[in-house]
This record gives sequence, structure tokens and C-alpha cells, in this order.
Amino acid sequence: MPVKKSRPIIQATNLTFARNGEEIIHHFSFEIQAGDYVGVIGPNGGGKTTLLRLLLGLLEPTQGNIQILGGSPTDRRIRKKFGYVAQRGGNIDAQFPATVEEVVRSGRTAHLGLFGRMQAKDESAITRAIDMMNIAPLLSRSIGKLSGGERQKVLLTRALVGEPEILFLDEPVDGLDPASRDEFYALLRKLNKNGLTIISVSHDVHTVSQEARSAICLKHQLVCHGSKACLIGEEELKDLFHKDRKELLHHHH
Amino acid sequence: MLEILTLEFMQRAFAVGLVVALVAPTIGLFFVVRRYSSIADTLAHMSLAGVAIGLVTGLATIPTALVVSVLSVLGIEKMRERKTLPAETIVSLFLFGGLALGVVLLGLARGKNVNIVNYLFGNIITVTNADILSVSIIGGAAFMIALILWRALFAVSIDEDTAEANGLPVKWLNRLLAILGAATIAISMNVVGVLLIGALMVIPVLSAMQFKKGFHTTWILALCVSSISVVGGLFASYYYNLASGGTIVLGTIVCFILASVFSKASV
Repeated sequence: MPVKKSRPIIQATNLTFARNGEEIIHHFSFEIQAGDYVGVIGPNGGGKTTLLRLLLGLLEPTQGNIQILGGSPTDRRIRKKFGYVAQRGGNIDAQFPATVEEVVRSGRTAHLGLFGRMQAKDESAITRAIDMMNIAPLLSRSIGKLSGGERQKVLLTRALVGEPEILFLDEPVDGLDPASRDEFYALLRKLNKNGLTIISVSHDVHTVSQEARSAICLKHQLVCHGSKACLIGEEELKDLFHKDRKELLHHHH
Repeated sequence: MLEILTLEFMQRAFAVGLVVALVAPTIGLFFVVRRYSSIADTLAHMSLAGVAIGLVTGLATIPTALVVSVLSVLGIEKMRERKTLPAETIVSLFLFGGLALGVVLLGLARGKNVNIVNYLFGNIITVTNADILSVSIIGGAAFMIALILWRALFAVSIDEDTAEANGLPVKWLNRLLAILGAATIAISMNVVGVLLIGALMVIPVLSAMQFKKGFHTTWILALCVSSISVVGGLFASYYYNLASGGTIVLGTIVCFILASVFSKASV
């Protein structure tokens, strides 16, 4: 059942982020509603991942303010409500000695606190996520032996084990084959339909125009924000990517 | 009963050796999986500087070594968090700094009738009852802290960013792990010496990783490798009159070779 967009859960005001004197994000404001599926789009180096890291509290804005789920993203209690799937599986070492089950269960650690022990509710959250993502056959395998698609699915499961209110994804299908991409996007559609707010960074206009409900388009500054209609502007896209709209929207992998 | 087990000094050696065999790979596992195992060598060299400070000033050497390596490791972590230099560069800076300081101060300690070689290469058969007590307390504490925080240390080891994004105190966990590493090295000086302790933290873990099992199984296998190496090394050093520290580390290398062969054969 589609969720009504009723309340803003993220409010960014006059956001600026600079590193070594260079402004990567320049002075913009936006809101994201609960239940939305937002595609953050822009050219490489345009500030997409920086914006995501600001929202996750991994970076602090040079100026401006972010309110997320009623608090600051640097507040650990707020962060427990985040799910995060990093680009290319967070670069987990292929030699890392861990089974899929160990990796998935680690997604519950923040909920337990440093000294907590798994309770029945934690076990049931883990089981629910595994069932929803249908990864039970992978559980005993080594994380380093999975294909790219399987690995992203496992990391998505790890994010869901924490029962997040917002799911953040950074180029989640980068490096995946078309079949794995389609499967991953189908899972995201299902999660969003169930009410999960999704914020996904991508450089692929075609995918965002198909999958997301709304878009944030940025190239250091906010080019547009709101419905996907903002991706239709010929001049804006050409300015952003130095490519024609037709080329961007009919880009097949 | 075997003669070796009836000798008091060998009983003490086995007691201290087995404590170190449990603690070193437990802490070393978290360094190895993060490709940060060079920190063990750096801490060992800082410990050497600590020992030298102890010898020159007359302070107890193991506690002084512990304090110096803890301070160094906090410095390393602080510089690593700033991300202005690559981690391996920072680690090298401290490694050579510690070694240079150690060499200079040990030169000053000459004539004080101290056997530097014992600190460099270990001499487990000179272990005293007081050593057993301090190794058990410090080692036991490090081991228990690692077990209590196991889940959080594992989550941070897989992927720091995700752990941080989920609200885990990554900085503090990294600092704590580094302090546990410093404690492990301080208690291991008598067993294998500062030049070889890194090996006891790293090689058992590398041997266990050959089997490509889960994290928990890898840890158990690493404990087996280090325990077998310590016990086997002590037997060999006693019966063949070999240097104990080097023999123990050679034992871990033999285990690594066997693990490489058997893991390939079992695929």
C-alpha cells in the first residue's frame, strides 16, 4: 500500500560543506517527506556522496543545519534508525573471514548497544529481514565468495536487520550485471511500498527517472528538487552532465 | 610425567605462554582483518622505547612499556582520524621513532647490568611468579574486554562507515582496540620479545584465514595455532636447547604452511 507523504523527516537548511577551502556543497535547502523514494542525482564530483554523508552524520556541515527524524544526524540515537548500503559493498575485503550470517547479524549491533545481548525481538528482526530478502541459502557462505549482486543483497539485508526508518544507498547497483540490478531495484520498490523512506545516490538519470518517486539534482548547488519532472528539463540536464537528455534517459547498460 | 612438566621454571613458562597464546591472536585478529597488522610491530618498537625508559630511570619496565605504547597508540589513532596522512605512513613514523628512541636510551642504560637480548627476543624461562600475576591480570582484562565488545569490534572491522552511520562509537572502539594491542605487547615481551610479538599476533590469524571460514571459527582456529605453537615451541626449546621466542614463532610459520597446504587440499 503506498504511503501518504505526510511529514518531512529530513529538513536541510542553508547547507554548505567545504573541504580544504573548496565548496563541495553550496548553500542549499530542501525537505524530504516520510515514505518518499528520492534519487540524488548529479555528475561525478558534484557532491552527491558528500550530501549523503552529511545526512548520515559522517560529515558535519561547514554552515547550515540538518534536522533528521526530529534530531541531529550526529546523534547516535537518531542514527540507529538509519540503514546504509555503501558503494561497492563498503569495499569489504574479499579475504575478510566472515559468513553471510555473521555479516547480516552485525546489522543489529547498534541496537544492542556495546554490552547488550540478542533478545527474541532481535532474533525475529534478523529472521524477518533474511526471509524478506530471500537470502537463507547464502547464510553459511563466505562474504568474500559472493557475486556482486549477492553481496549487495546481503548488505541490504544487514541494513534492514536494524529496522531502519530511512534507508540510504550510495550507487547501490554500481558494478552489477543488468539482471542483478533489476532484482535489486525490485527489492527497493517493495521496501518503499511497505513505507520505508529511501534516499539513493546515483549518476544514472535513466534509472532514477524510472525508479524514484522524486529527485534531488545537484552539481555543487541544488539544480532542482521535487518531482521527477525536474529531470525532464533539457537545458538543466545538458548543463549537469554535458550530454543530451535523450542520451541520458535512453542509456542502457 | 614428562620431566619438563615437573620443573618449576617450565611450569611458569607454560602458564605465561598459554595466556599470551590466548590474548595475542584474539586482539591480532581485529588488526589483521582490517589490514592494520603493521600496528603490532610499531607498538612493539614503542614498547622497546618504554623498556629503555624504564631501564634508564629505574622504573618497572613492563608497566613503563605499557604506558609508552598506550600513549603512542593514542597518538597514532589521533593522526589516523585526521586523515591527512595515510595510515601506513603514520605507523612507520612511530615505528622508526620508537626504535630510534629505544636504541639511544639503551645506549645510556649500558653498564647497568641488564640483558637487552631478553627484551628483544624474549626468554620465557626467566619468568617469575610476579610476571605470571601481571601477565594474567593485564592479559585476562584485555581478553575479557575483547570478548565483551566482540560484536561491536566485529561490526567496525567489517565496515567503519556503516558502523558509524548506525551510531556505533567507532573512534572510541578503535582507540580501545589499539590500547588492547599495546597491553598484549607489554605482556608478551618475556615470551617472544618485542621483535617477534607481532608474529604471534598475526601469523596464527593468517594461518586460520587460509581455511576461509567465518569470523568466529577463524578466531578458534587461530587460538589453536598459537597454543600449539607456544606448547610445541617450549618443548622444542627445552629438549633441543633453542631460543624459546624464535622457536615459538617458527612453530606458527610451520602451522601457516600446513594450513596453506591442507586448506587447498580440502577445497
